Amino acid sequence: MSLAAYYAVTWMQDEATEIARGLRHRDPEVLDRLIEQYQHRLFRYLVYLTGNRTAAEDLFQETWVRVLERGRQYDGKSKFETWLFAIARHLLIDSLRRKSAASLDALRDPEEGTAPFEPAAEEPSAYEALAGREQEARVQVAIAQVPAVYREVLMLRFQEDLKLEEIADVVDAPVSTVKSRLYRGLEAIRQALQGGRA
Amino acid sequence: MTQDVHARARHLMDAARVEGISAAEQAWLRQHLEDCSDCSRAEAGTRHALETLRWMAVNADPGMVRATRLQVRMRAQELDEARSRSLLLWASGVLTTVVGMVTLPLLWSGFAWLGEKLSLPNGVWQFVFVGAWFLPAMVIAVLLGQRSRWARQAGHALPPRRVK
Repeated sequence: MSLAAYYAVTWMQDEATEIARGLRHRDPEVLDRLIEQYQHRLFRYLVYLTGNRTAAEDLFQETWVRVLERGRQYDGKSKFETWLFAIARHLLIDSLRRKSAASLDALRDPEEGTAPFEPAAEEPSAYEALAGREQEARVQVAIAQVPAVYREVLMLRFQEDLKLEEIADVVDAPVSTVKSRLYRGLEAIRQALQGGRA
Repeated sequence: MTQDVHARARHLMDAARVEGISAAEQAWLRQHLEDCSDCSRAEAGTRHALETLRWMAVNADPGMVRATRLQVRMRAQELDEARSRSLLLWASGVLTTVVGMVTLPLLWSGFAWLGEKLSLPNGVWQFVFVGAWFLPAMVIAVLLGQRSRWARQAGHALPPRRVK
C-alpha cells in the first residue's frame, strides 16, 4: 500500500469513527454536517430507487430521523454511506409493505421467480423530468427501463463507486447476487439503448 | 465471426466493469472491439450511459433539506427530553430500592409491634408489610412500562409527520 493510500484509508477510518462518536451522542452539529455532506447522494439514490421525487423526499426526511434514532448502531467500521443507504432502503421496503402489503421478496430478481420491485410512479418519471438534452434524455429513459432491482446496484456501483462488498451490505444480499444483478443490469441497459435506437 | 465470440466480448465488457478482467482478456477484448463495429458501438453506448448516470444532476431541494434539519433537531430534542425523564425515573427507582433495603429491619419491627398492639395474626401484618414494601417498586415499574409504550407510540407516529 502506498503512503498516500495508507493516509487516505486512515483518514476515512478516522472520519467514520468521528461520525460514530457524534451519532452515539446525537450531536446535532454532526448530524447537520452529515445532512449537508450526503444530501444529494442520498436524494439521488432515493429518486432512482423510487422513481418518484415526492416519495424520495418523504423517505429522505425519514432516513435522517432514523439515522438520529439508530445512530448508536453505527460502529464506524464501515463507510457511513453504506449504512445510510441501507437505512434508506429498509425504510423504502417498510413503506411499500405498509402501502401495498409488498414484502421483501418484491426486491428479488425477476429471474428468481417473483415480479421485480417497481414502485408505481404517480407523476411523470423523475428521469424524464430531469432530461435536459436529447442524448441525455435517451440514456435516462433507457436507465428508467431497467428494473429497479438492477438499477439500484448499477447506481451504487457506477454512481456511488461502492465496492461489491459494500453494495452487498446495502442490499443485504451475497456478493454473488450483487454481481449477478450488475451483469443483468448492464445487459438491460444495453438492450434498452438498442431498443431506443431502433 | 461466430455468435460465441460476440457473446464473449459482451461478457468481458461487463466483467471489466463488475469485477475486472485479466490482461490477456483485456488485450483480446481491445482487439475484438477494433474489429467488430457492433460490439464497439454497444461498448460505447454502455460507457456513455454509465457516464451519464454518474454525472446526472439530481439535487435535493434546499427547502426540503432545511425542513429535514429542523425535523431532525426537533426529534433529537424529544429524545433528549425522554432520556432525561427516563434517567430521573431510574434514579428514583434506585433510590427507593436503597431506602427500602436500609429501612427494611426498622419497618419489619414497626409492623411486628403494630400487629402485636392490634392483636393481628402474624400472617395478616406480614402480608400488609410485604404489600407496603413492594408498593413503590410496583408504581415505578408501571410508570416505566407506560413510558415505554408512549415512546413506542411516538416512534410509530413519526413517519407521517412531514415538516415542510
